[in-house]
Amino acid sequence: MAVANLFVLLLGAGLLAVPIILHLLMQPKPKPLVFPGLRFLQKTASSNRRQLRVRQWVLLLLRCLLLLLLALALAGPAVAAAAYANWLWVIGIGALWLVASLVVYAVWTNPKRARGLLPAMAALWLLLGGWLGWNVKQAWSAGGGQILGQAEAPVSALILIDNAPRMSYRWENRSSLDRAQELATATVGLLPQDSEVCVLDTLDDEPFFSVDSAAAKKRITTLEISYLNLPLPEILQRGLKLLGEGKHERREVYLFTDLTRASWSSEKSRELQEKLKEIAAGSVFVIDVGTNQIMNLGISNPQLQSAVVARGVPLRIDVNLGRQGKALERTLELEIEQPDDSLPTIRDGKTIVPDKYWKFAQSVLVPENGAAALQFEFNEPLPRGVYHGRLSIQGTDGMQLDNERYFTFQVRDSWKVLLVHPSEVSPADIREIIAPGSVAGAAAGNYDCTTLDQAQINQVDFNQFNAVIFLNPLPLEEATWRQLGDYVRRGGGLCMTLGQNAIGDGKVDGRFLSEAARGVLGVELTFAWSRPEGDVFLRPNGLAHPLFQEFRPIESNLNWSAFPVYSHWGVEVPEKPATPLQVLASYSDRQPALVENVLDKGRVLLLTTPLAEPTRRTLGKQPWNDLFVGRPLPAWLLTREMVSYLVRLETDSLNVETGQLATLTNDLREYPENYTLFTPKPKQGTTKVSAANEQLRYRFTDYPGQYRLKGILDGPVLRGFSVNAHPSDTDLTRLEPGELDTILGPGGFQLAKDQNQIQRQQGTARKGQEFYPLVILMLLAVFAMEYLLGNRFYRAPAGS
Amino acid sequence: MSVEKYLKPNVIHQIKRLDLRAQFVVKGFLHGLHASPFHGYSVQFAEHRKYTPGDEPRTIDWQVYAKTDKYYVKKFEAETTMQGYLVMDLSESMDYTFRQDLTKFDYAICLAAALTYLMVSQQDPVGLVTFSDRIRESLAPKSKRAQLNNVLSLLAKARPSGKTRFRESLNQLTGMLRHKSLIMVFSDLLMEDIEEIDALYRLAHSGHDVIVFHVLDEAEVSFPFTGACLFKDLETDQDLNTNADQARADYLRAVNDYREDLAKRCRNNRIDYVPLDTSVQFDKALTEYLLNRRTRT
Repeated sequence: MAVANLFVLLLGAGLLAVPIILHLLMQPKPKPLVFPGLRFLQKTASSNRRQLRVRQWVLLLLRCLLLLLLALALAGPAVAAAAYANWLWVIGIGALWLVASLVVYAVWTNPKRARGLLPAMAALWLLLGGWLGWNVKQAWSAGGGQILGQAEAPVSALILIDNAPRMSYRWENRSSLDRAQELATATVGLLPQDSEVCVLDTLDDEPFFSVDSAAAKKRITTLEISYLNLPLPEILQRGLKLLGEGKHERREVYLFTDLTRASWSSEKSRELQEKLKEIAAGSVFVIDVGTNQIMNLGISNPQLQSAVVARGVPLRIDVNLGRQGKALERTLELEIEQPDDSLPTIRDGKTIVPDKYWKFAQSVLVPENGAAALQFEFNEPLPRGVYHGRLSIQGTDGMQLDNERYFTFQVRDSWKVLLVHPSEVSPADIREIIAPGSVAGAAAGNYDCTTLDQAQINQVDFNQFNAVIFLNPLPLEEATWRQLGDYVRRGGGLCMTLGQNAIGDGKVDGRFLSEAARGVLGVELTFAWSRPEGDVFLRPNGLAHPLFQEFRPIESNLNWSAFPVYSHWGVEVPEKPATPLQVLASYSDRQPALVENVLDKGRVLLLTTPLAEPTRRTLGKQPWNDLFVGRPLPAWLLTREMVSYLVRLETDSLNVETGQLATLTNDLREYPENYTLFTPKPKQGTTKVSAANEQLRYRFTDYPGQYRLKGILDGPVLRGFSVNAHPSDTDLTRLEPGELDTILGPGGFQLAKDQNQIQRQQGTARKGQEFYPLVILMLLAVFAMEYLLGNRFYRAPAGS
Repeated sequence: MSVEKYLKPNVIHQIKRLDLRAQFVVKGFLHGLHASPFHGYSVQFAEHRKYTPGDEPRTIDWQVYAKTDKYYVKKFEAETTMQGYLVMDLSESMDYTFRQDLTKFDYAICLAAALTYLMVSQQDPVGLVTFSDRIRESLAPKSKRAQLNNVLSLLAKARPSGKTRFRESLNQLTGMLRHKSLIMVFSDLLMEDIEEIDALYRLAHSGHDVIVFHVLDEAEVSFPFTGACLFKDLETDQDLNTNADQARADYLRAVNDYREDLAKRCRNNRIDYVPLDTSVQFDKALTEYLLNRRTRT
């Protein structure tokens, strides 16, 4: 509740003293009269006196009320529209309480007539008083402390404009952002003089008040689409904090948004609602610059089967086309750049990139408000290198951003994997899993898999392999362990899958317990656990580890318990390991199953049950496990992913989303330390980046497109990565009706679509709902009551 | 001089007219008074008149018949004369008027004068008794015309003062009366206790014919006061500060209740109760009363 003219109200309150003083001090002097009939007066004198007092007080009260209402009417009280009903309720209860007060006073001063009623009336009066007080408190606290009444008093305003990529959607020849900028500029222009304005967009920036309205307008007009967005409620919270410190008491919030769901998160909505109520109750305006009639066709972020492929391995790209609107047939083009060592370069201030492509196209009919899936397979034999590609839709629609997507992939030589096995253990199955259909010496897919009898291990140089896998090995000599340790420390990947061959004299062979062995494995073998019942099985300890990346989409289909483990090695994991050690998977008896040990640049994986067992087994002797019995999807996937992890198949971030960190390994033996980075951002030239700790990290991925790195190391080295917008950045799904109420609170905001609506709502918010008509009505009512009661109480006798 | 003051020419004119107009009424009034109380009484022989059919045979004077062979009946004084007493309240409250020309006392004197005139005109003896806290003065009943002057002179000299002790005064009167009389009481009946009116019952039950002229001031009947007033009763020396507008309704109710109570009590004891206030012309009031009384008899 607020008043426009506080001075008038205070003056009126002061004038209230006048009738009270008159009543108390200026009682009329009684006329002395001789009257023999006094005895008849005396009979009713005392009750008359009481009545007289009651009537006098009632009339005094009415006269005071009259003055007060007059002052109030002139003072122009008003409240926010949302709080009007609360205050009406308060007035109603107040009137009841006033009446109750009069009744209680009348009963109290005239006990003879209504003696029994006094306690009940007093109780009712107290109840009403308490109820009134509570309602006043509620109404006052709901008011938000807004000063109303003067439409032209300066305000502290927060202008928040959603500039997420979704706002680039164009309809009726303008984008939602264009509309937002236009309306926001007009709104700033209509703010009262001396108002202060804070303009915020959805970037993670610190809010501040602009120097003046011109600066605020300029900030608005220069806003661009941003790919690094926080949800609007979060930005709003920050803006409200600043607004609360604004120098003006009246505060207004303007949110310019297309009401797409991705911009609004309902987390911490209660906190936001309370903050809004506290800072700007009744003055929150949400301006909808979007449209319900959306017609858009967009490409999802492409899914590459593998961003790093071996030479000769086809590249498979899966992509979805999503449609909002009627069904549509479109052609999707795939372009893969043909590298040019001289490009990219800057010429006349522009970035020149290769302009030769391999092109492919597919047409597809996308159903109404549906999606269609497409797959491309690129079989061109490519030399080693990094390649950039692009998917694009032919034709235009409301949003161009999702009509083009980017990807980057790397072609390299196959990873060399060495499978070491004792002679009685066949590596064929495992090799088939790693390199399907491979023939020894020829690469099949990403891996070039070589098998080696363990007896010949001294003849091999591990360093020529990307990963070495020991299948159920016999005990290794100390020197071999040291060799393996060096190999791993230099960046190699080692996998030990231990089985019955590690047993010596009925217990673990001592060579697995040597210092070198423990240094490589990171753990100490204890003894072999036997679980003949088949009730023990292996399962990962969560799927967060990169090794289990491919497990995540199919987690529910992996039934580990169907593949029992009958025997496994127990290991003792040190409490404070000397190297980074992690148990990645355990058995259902809680014993560690898969342990990772990181040694400098390399990794060691220890599986405590074998992947392959001796082909000749003692009759009746149970195998160590049934991991590959039946349809062994879990074990098959585990084997492949262990290899993939060891060779670091997907270490580089060749395809990221806006705002994500792009990381590329940068082995200085292979790559230069310094690069020139060519970004896709318009008007941004090149920038210099350098690797550190054999890693190249780049975090300014705030614009979608292809980021190209060019360095020199015995010739040009071309690398790079692609950045695509997050899928939600182009999701135009709007909030359902009522969802905004959940976030901002029902009645906590006013929705507008155009300037007229904004202005109308501003007027109501600033002036609030005025009480003037109601106060005048009350004034007339009290005036009438005072007149009637005055005449009735002091009626002149007939004929006098 | 007193006569002119209390019986102004127009009043006398009224009275005369009353006399003429209501001659038979007055006679009847008087006759009505005469009939029952004096029946069988040994009273003084006054004169003879010729017998007319209808006269009671026992009233025939047989000695005259013996002498004259004609029938004559005896007329006794009791047939033509009636003793009346004017009982005037002289308490201080009678000397009050708010805005009328006559105080209650003056008004009562006017009434008394008119009635005295009537009675004297009929050669009925009329006497006067004044009282306040006790009987102050009295005039023996006489029927001569000079009695009017005597009554008015005494009343003119009288000054209302003191408190009213109605019971004591009237009981005193009751003891004084030897013959059945017409007692006309003029008072505002502002007694401390309404039960004091039982003194009138004694009078009535003693065989006297009692008429109570309850005279109040116009202000005591209509309560015309407004605003804050400090009312003072000189008789009781009490006062009351109140708002007249607030008190009016209750006061009027109380006064009316009092009058009705008095009327009822008088009615129950065969006492004529005549409520009057000084705003009403006394002759009209008297006429109305006499007419009503005739209708009753």
